[in-house]
Parts: sequence; C-alpha cells; structure tokens
Amino acid sequence: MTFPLVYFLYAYFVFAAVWAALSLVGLYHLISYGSRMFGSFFLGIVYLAGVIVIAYVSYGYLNQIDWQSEISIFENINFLNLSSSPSNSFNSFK
Amino acid sequence: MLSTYRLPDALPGESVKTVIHRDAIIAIKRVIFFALLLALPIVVIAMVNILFPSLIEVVWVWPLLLLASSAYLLFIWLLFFFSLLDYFLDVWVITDRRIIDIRQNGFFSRAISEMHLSRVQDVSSETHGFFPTVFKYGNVVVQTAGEQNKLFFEEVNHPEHIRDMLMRLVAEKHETTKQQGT
Repeated sequence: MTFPLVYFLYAYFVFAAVWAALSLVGLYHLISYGSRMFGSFFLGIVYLAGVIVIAYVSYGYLNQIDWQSEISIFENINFLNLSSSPSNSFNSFK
Repeated sequence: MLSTYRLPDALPGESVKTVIHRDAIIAIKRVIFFALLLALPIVVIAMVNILFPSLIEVVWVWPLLLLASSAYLLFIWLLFFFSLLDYFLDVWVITDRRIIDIRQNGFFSRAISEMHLSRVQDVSSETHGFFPTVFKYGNVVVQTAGEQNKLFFEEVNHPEHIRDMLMRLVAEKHETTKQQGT
C-alpha cells in the first residue's frame, strides 16, 4: 500500500486548526479578564511572538520536504518466506 | 491594579484594598518547567541524529519528526500560555466590604465567589515546605459563618501580612456595624 507523504501534512493542518481555535479561546479570556493588568497583557505579546517564531521555523523546515514522495507500507513483507517461483517453493518442502 | 469598574457587582462606595495573585515564584517555576519541555524536541532530534543517523535518511522519518516536533512545540506553547493565564487570572480581591475569589479553571471554566467581611469568623495562615519557607509564600484560610465555610488564598506572598490585613478589616467592619447599630 502506498500513499503520499502529504497525508501527514493534512493531519498536521487539522491539528493546527484545533490548536488555533483553542488559542483564540485563550486570547479571548486574556482580553476579557486580564487586559488591564500589565503582566497578562505582556503574556499575550510573548505568546503571539512565540507562535510566530515556531510557525516561521516550522515553515522553513517543512518547506524543504518533497511532500509528493510516496510511502510504501506492508510491501516486501513475506510472512511465509515463499518465493514467486512454484518450483522453488516445491523444492523447499523436500 | 484592578479597579472597582472590573469588580463583579461592585457595591456603592466600595474601595479596593488590595489585589492578590499567587506568588511570583509559582510563575517562575512554571516558566522553567515549560522551558525544559520546549527543549525536548531538540534533544530528541539530536539524539536520533547521533544514535541512528541512517534512520534520518529514510524518506518518511525526517518529515514525520519535523511534523511531530512542530505539533509538540505548538501544543506545549499553548499549555504554557494557559498555565500562565491561569496564574494571572486567579485573583483575590480584598475590599473594605468583602473578599472576592476569582478562579480560572482550564479553558472554559471561571468561578467567582465572594464573602462579606461581616461573616468572617477566623483567618489563619500556613506555610509548608522548603520553597514556601525560603520564598515566604503560603496559604491563607478564611473561616466564615456562611454556606461556603472556607475560602482559600493559595500560594500567596507573605500570607501572614494578608492574615493581619484581613483581621484588621474584619475588626473595623464589626466596629462600624456596632456604631451604626447604636
């Protein structure tokens, strides 16, 4: 069975979408209840800066990958150790 | 500083005496903990590179490592954000009339409880452990006559000062109530 590497990237995007939704929830709480305090305001700035750094570095590395490469799994696995030639398989039982 | 505008249902003429958060050492401990967690992908990738260099050359290993590391970093960074948000949004407000306990519990839970000073019966402070003793933070327990028997100030700086302030405010409140009654 073969499938392109890009499927893992799609799964990553799904995770990123969920992560973004939770981030918005957190930022909402910060703005609603903590915006008047310098510490929590500074936390929001630091958080967004960290997100930008992680996204930038991730993009830099992930952009270098050939996502159209194919991955093969469950191939070249021969559980019974039988070759394709019938005569050879017969000889193995002698 | 939290103003009366932000107080839930501020009473007329109410003045805020102090706004209390957990001690700063709690935030520092969380920052150090999450810094170690954030460094983990770098350590793992370095170890894989050193111990199994041929594994990196497999077509899907390096992309998967990158995706997993990126997802892990985003996840930990989000947890770090919520951990410190919880630290900043957990607040105890002491006014001249009541004590307000505001707690942020996780993503979708926020609890606010209040206690009038006239109902306070006893205030005690406690400090347990090496770090609390060295850095002078601990808990304050307020015993009341109401349905909610106890209110806790957790991991606050100089709990004995908060205890003294509360006892003084409670005494002043009782004195004021007595004078208004006579």
